[in-house]
Amino acid sequence: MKPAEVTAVQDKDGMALLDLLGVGDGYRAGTLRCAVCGTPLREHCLGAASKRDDSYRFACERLDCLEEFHRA
Amino acid sequence: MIVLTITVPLLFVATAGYVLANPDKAEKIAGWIWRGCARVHGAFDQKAVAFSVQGDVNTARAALAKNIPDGVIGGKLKVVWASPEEAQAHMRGGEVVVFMRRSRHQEENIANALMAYLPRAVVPRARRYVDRETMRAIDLTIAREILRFSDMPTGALDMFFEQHLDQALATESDLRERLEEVDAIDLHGWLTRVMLGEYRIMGDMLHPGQCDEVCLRDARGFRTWLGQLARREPYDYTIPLQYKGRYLRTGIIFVALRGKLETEGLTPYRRRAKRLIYQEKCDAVYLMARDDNILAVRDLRDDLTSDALVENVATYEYALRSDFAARRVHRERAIIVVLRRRRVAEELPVDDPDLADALAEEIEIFDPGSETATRAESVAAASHELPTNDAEHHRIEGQPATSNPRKHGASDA
Repeated sequence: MKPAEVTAVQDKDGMALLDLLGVGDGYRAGTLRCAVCGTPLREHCLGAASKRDDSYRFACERLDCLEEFHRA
Repeated sequence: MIVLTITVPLLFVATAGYVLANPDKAEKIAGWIWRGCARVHGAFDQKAVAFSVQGDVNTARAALAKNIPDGVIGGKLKVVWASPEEAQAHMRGGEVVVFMRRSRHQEENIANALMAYLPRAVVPRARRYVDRETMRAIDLTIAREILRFSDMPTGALDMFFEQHLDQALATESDLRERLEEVDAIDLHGWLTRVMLGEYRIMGDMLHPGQCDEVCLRDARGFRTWLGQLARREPYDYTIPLQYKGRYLRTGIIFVALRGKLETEGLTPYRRRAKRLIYQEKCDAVYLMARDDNILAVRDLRDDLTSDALVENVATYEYALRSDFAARRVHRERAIIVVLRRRRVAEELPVDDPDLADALAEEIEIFDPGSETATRAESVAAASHELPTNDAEHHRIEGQPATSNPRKHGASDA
């Protein structure tokens, strides 16, 4: 059976990715928020990221937020 | 020297054998080894995270996927690391990228990977035809089972749910209700073997067509019906044992009364099964029993396997969840046999002696529109029971047919 692949970035590369996506400053300033619950995303609470409608979206680590985020 | 010459190859062969026989557990062990290495040098951390997460999730997956219908739980989890540039490219292609922490944050990493994995692995084709709230409750229930199965200490697991899920449960009463409903279904072992099995078939039937309100209502109605059956109280005979929707048409036969089996044998059950297949045109008939009655269901299955309209038969025998005894009744094992109806050449065979009797019986139907029981004709009470203890068996057996509370309930409906 074909494995289900999950693409992952480790936290040491997380900041570099956020800078690459142009949201690094917002993250550092605490204005980058979870697309599901609206909580500001700070250190160690980034769960997932995706691109939709030409903008990047992020979710925090909460199980229900991740579930909603992956389903959307 | 001689000892080394013998021991080293032997160890090598034993290790290779273990890895081949238990690839998921071997992955877990590799994760532990890499985690040890990661403490010495951070460069090993990615390997430690990938092996640990894959090992935990895939071991739990293997346990969950035992004795369930094919295709309900898909392939294993594989964590693929990406550099920031590669991650950006994946996101541009529409993929979701997950963030993983250092290997010492095992709980968070498992949860994170799990929520990305489940939509890809659990009835992936059927998901779009199932209403959002149902699918959400299913994912969270399976996630909880997998996390429970991993090596997390109980305290850490409790804290983890408190931090991650309880906030949502406190603010969303609907989610709590759905989770309780799906958990009750899972408690009987019906989540993966009945509910997701039927959803998968519906998904295969409808794919790649668009989802519409009818299939969403069907999925929701089916969940409600199973939830009611799973949570019904002793002596509650008001829940019908048949669900008829546009896409999902199933019937359940509980073989639970030992007294009835001793006096009447399998005949009432056989008749009811035939009626569900021939007259009610159920696409799937589920025969269910626990512990001592498992043998009777096997016999019933063997009896019905040769029926002209039974296309295929699947049997799932499994251990009940450890909390089943505390929450319901002291039982340890269960069996589910699924009889799938042939969809072509549905003419009734003329030489079946049971069929005439079977068609004269009456049956209850679950109406997904009103979510209440409607009455087709009257009730074949004998085949609708799932008492929760032996005392109850005798009391029901002792009741005259006219005093069966189910009859009154059905009439009221």
